[in-house]
Parts: sequence; C-alpha cells; structure tokens
Amino acid sequence: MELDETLFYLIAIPIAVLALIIVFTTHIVRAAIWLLFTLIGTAFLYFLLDAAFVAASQLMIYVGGILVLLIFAIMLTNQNPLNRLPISKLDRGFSILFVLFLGLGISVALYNSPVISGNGQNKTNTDSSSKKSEDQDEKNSSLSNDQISEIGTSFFDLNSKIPSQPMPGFPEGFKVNRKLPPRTNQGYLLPFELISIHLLVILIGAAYLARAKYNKNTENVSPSDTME
Amino acid sequence: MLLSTLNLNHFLLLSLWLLLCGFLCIFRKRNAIGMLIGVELILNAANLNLIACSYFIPSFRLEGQIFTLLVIVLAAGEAATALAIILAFYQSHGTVDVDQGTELKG
Amino acid sequence: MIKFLADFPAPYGDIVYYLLFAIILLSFIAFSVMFFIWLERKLSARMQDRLGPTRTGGKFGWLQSLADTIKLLTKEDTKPALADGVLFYLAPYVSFAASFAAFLVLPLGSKMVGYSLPIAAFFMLSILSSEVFGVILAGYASAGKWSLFGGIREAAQVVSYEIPRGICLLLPVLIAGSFDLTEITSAQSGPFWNWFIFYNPFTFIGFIVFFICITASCKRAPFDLAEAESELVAGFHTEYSGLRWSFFFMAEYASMFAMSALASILFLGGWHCGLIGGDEVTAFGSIGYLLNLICLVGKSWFLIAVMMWMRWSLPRIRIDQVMMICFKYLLPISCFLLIGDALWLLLFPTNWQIYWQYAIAFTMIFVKLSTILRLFTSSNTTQPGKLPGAWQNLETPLMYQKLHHNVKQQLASPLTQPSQSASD
Repeated sequence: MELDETLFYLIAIPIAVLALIIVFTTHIVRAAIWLLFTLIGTAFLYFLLDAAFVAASQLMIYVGGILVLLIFAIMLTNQNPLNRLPISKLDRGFSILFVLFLGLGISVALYNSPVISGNGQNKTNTDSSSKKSEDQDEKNSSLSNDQISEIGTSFFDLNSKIPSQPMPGFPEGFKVNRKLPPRTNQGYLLPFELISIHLLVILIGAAYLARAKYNKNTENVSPSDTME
Repeated sequence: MLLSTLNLNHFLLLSLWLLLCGFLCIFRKRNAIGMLIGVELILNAANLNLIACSYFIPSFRLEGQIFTLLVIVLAAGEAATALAIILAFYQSHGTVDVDQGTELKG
Repeated sequence: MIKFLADFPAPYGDIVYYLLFAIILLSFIAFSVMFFIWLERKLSARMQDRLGPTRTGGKFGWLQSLADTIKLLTKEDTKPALADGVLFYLAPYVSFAASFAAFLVLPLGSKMVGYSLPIAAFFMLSILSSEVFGVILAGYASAGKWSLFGGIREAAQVVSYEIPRGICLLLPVLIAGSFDLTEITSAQSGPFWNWFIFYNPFTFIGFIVFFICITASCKRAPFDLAEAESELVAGFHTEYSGLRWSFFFMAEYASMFAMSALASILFLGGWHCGLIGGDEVTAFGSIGYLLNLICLVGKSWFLIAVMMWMRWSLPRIRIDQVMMICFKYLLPISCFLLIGDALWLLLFPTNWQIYWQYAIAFTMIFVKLSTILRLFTSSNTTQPGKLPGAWQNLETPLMYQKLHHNVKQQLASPLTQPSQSASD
C-alpha cells in the first residue's frame, strides 16, 4: 500500500464512521463535536488534494467560526442536553428509503458518467489533452505560491490563466454561448461582490433576528396565544 | 504531493457517503440545530467533491477551489442566519423542536 | 540513524523519520513550558517583592517545575459525577493537539521547518483558532456553572479577536507578497531597520495591535476571563486535575510560544539577528543555523516575558470591556492600518523608504535607551501626584486623580452612597 492510499484510508474511514455516528446519536452536543472531527478530517483531505488554502480556510471558518457558533446556540437553547426528540416510525422508514434510493440513483449516475467509468483522468482525456494534463500534474506536484495568488487575483478579474477548453466529462455538443463579447480577463469579481453584499445582509439580518426582545409586545404574548 | 494510486472514485464515493449521511441526519432529527448539522455535512460533501475534481480534472483546477471558497463563505452566512432564526424561535416557543413550528400551516 | 531508516519499506521509513522529529519537537515544547513556568514564578515573585521558588534544585529553584510535574503525575484523576465522560476526557487532548499542530509549519530557522507550506502564516492562525474547542468542551463537559461560564467567555473572546488578528497578519504579508513564513523572513534579512515593524508607521502600530490580539487569544491576563480565579474559581479547568490539567497548561504555554514566534517572524525579523549585513548562514556557515535558532527562540522568549510582565502588572478587565476593546477599537484600527499599509506600498516613493526605516528604527532605539537610563537614574521615592520610576516628573493621568479623589471622599464620609465614577 502506498503512502497516499494509507493516508487516505486513515482519514476517510474515521470521517465515514463519524458521519454515521452524527446521524444516529441523540446527544446534540456530541453530534456537534463529531461534526468538528469530520470537518477537520475533510480539511486534511484537502491538504492531500493539494488545496492548502481552501483547507486552511475550512479550518478557520468552519472549525473556528461556524462550529463555535453552533455550540454557542446549543448551549443557549438546550436546557437539558439529554432531552431526546424521537421521530415517528413512519418518518424513520421513509428517511431510510429515501436515502437508499438517492444513494442508488447517484451511484448509477456516477457509474455511467464518463469521468468515473474511465477510472481516473488519463483515460477520459483525449490524446491531445492528456499531454496537457501531465503538464498540469507537474504543476500540481510542486506546491507553488502562484496557486494562491491565482485564487486571489481571479476574485478581482485579473486572471488570464483560466483554461478555455471544454471540461472533460461534458457531452460533445456542450458549448458556452460564444455570442458574448470575447474577454481576455475572466474572473470571479461578480460572485465576490455578490457574496460581500450577501454577507452584509446576513450580518444585519442575523443581528436583528437574534437580538434579545425586551419590549412589551413580546412579553405579553404567551406561548398559548401563539399556538392558535 | 502527487497521488499515485488514488483516483477520483475514492473521493466521490466518500463524498456520496457524506451526502447520504447528511440527508439522513436532516430526516432523523427534530432538533433544529441537529438539522443544521446535517446541512453542514451535505455542504461538506459538495466541497470535497469540488476539491477532488479540481485535483483530478486539469481544466477544473482553479474553479474547484474558488467554488469551494464561495461555498464555505455562504455556509458561514447560512449558519449564522439559521442559528439566529433558531434563537428567535426558541425565544418565542421555548423549544427547538421543529414540529412545534406549525402556526403557518394552512 | 538515517542509514538504519533506509532499510525500512518505502513509506514506513519516512513515517519513522517524521515521528522522530515530532518527538524532538514535543520534548522541546515540554521543556520550554517547564522553563516558562519557572520564569513566570520568578518574575511574578520579583514584581510582588517576593523571592519565588528558592529551595528546589539549588539557589534559584531551577527544578521547581520538575517537582511540580512529578506532583501532577501522581495526582488522582477525578471526574465529576454529572460530567459528560467522553467529552470530559477528550477536551485536554483537543486543546493540546491544536496548539502542537501549529509547530508543524513554524520555521525555527532557515530550512528548519517541519513542512514548508506556502500558506504557513494563515495555517498557523487557523489551527490555533481551533484550540478554543478544547476550552469550550471542557467548560461544557464539566457540568458546572463556573466551567460553563468560562467556556462561553472563551468562545466569545477568541472568535472576536480572530478578526483583528487576521487583519494585522496581512500587513507583513502585503509587504513580503507571500504567506510563506520563510519568504517573509528572508524579506527582512540584514540590519534591524529592515524588520517589518520599522517598515512604515502602520506596521509599527500593527505590531502592537497584533500583540494585544495574541495575548487575548492565548487567554493571558488581562484577558484571562476564561479562567478568572477570583470570580470563576478556575473557569473551564476547575474540575480537572493531574495530567489532564497539565495538558491544558501545556497547550496554553505552547500556543503562547507559537504565537510569539509567529509575531517575531512577521514583525521582528524572524531568525535574523539584525546586526550583520546579510544572511547568517552565508556569513558564518553551519554556525549560522545555530545562530538562527537562538535568535528566533530568544525573540519569542522575550515576547513571552513581556506577556508575563503584562499579566502581573495589569488588572483583569470585564467581559464587556474585552468585547468593546475588540470591536470598537482594535477592529477599526486594524482595518485602517491595512488600508494605510496598502496605500503606503502604492504611493510612498521607494527612494525615501530606507530613510524612513532609519528614522523610525533609531528613534525607537533612542526612546528605549533613554527610558532605561531614566529608570536607573530616578529617585527611589515617588512624589504625590506624580508617576513613579522612569516617568517620575510626569503628572498622574487625570483619570486616576479623579479616582483617588473619589476614594478619599468616600473614606472621609463612609455613610454616603458610593458615587458612580468610583465604581468605574
């Protein structure tokens, strides 16, 4: 067994097992903690896949941000952590059935797709592009600084390195609409700006929703009133 | 690091497993925060898928990482909003059981 | 040794090799933690006019930490009856593993790095930010009110201080044009005015803001809200004893060391001694590597000593004050510094850059030397209404004068209600 395969199984098997434990545990804090380890393991897989910046972002935002928030919310809302909320047997059966069908469907789709049935990249690519992929592999193999600056500059529409050939795995006739004016500098400025505005809206919205309501109106409304 | 023996299938299968676990988690929990944990699992599966494709498919190298970054940022926003809604729900109902939120039923 | 490892089958030789280095690093951290504990005891004792440990191991109590370790190892390992077993036992290891993992990418000298990652600076911040989980878990799993308070305070504090810390990290990264710690350091080689702290006024203030932020994220006083002894007993580690408690302690000191090393790499020239013209390795050969190591470790130890100095001279602040410092002051300041730094890089003429560095570096040296000189020449008594020591001719700040006045009034008439400003 090669080192990378060992490492993959060393990370992947705990992730899979922990994901299953998250599903079947009824202890909500423990579910959050197992989610923490799942996320850290996924970040390790990103390191294995040469995406160091994304891995560090995952550690920073998911682990240091979202999960802390999640546990905060659990502590604020759960007076009794052992308070189990069981679902009905019908729901249980339905959920298992749905997930089985979903898994089966995706597996069949994956099995028939050109990307996976060709057992990796080399066989799916045509001869002309396989040479290019080897070049890309060489570029991948050395963790270069350019990769990070490429991500950064492409967010500001400054990148000209985006490959223009169609992606492997897509059908032959699939083409981008070429009637648009040709652009030399393509990037992700629009999603970047959209996300910034989106985050601002979320910031205001979340602060508005979660603020403690001390005004009289909400105090007078008892739970029995709202139930009707 | 150059992966020699692994290919895309390994990562896609792990991602599929995480996706199914996430769905099952959403279905099986009545606690709103538990459902949110399921959503995080699903997003994580999608991210893993994107990163694996960005490594194994050369022309997808940059896009995969950028989409993942966008997904992570949006997931942070989603978690913040969802938790704010859950807190507001808890303030008005005194519980996080989603079965209690039935006022808007037609 | 290397020859012996070559006989192993392909991947396992590497694994054994890396494990060996991990063990060396771990023991280095453990021994420096023991040294820091001894140092903290001696420093705090001196600042409070005591002697500190004197008996164990000769004149200065060198072996006090070792004796403490033996005592901790033999303590009973207890768990509260209501505690959540799995999480209670897991918490110290989560905390320690996170702070130890930061050393993976921390270069201790040129080419002395575990794994040379191109985003090492960002990785260190992100992995150290997951250390907070051990604290939250400990606070939750201990099933006690004080522990839970400590855990929640820690969560709020660390998540908030991550933001200005991350923005201040960007200042040297902008100048060096890389997240790689080795490249950031090599951009600061040469004499000390090449260090990024003297690069422009924004990095100079940026270092101070960064230092405050790392003090807060290592939960050191005056930001030690999570383990406030006088209000929360010991906060999140109230219920821990023996080895598990010492793991929390090790995690705290290890993250202090990692953060101080990061600060000295980012702003204080890293492993360059700042006295010779070029790189140490090219100047002295293989002795240069040792010099690098000594420089970096010395700088980080100096920053840790400053942290201890702050701990024993400043009172603990309240949690609302902690939040206010972060969001009302440090966050706007750091955003302003980032914009200013970027504008400086764009607009400041490169010909004048070196003169600016000379000016600020020598001014700082002059200020420091004159302060030390005043400290030694000042009189031993303090005038009423004046500051002591090096600041002997300066007036006491107005805030404290008012405070003194109110206290005096209260003492004069004990029956009146305490006024608002006195309780502030």
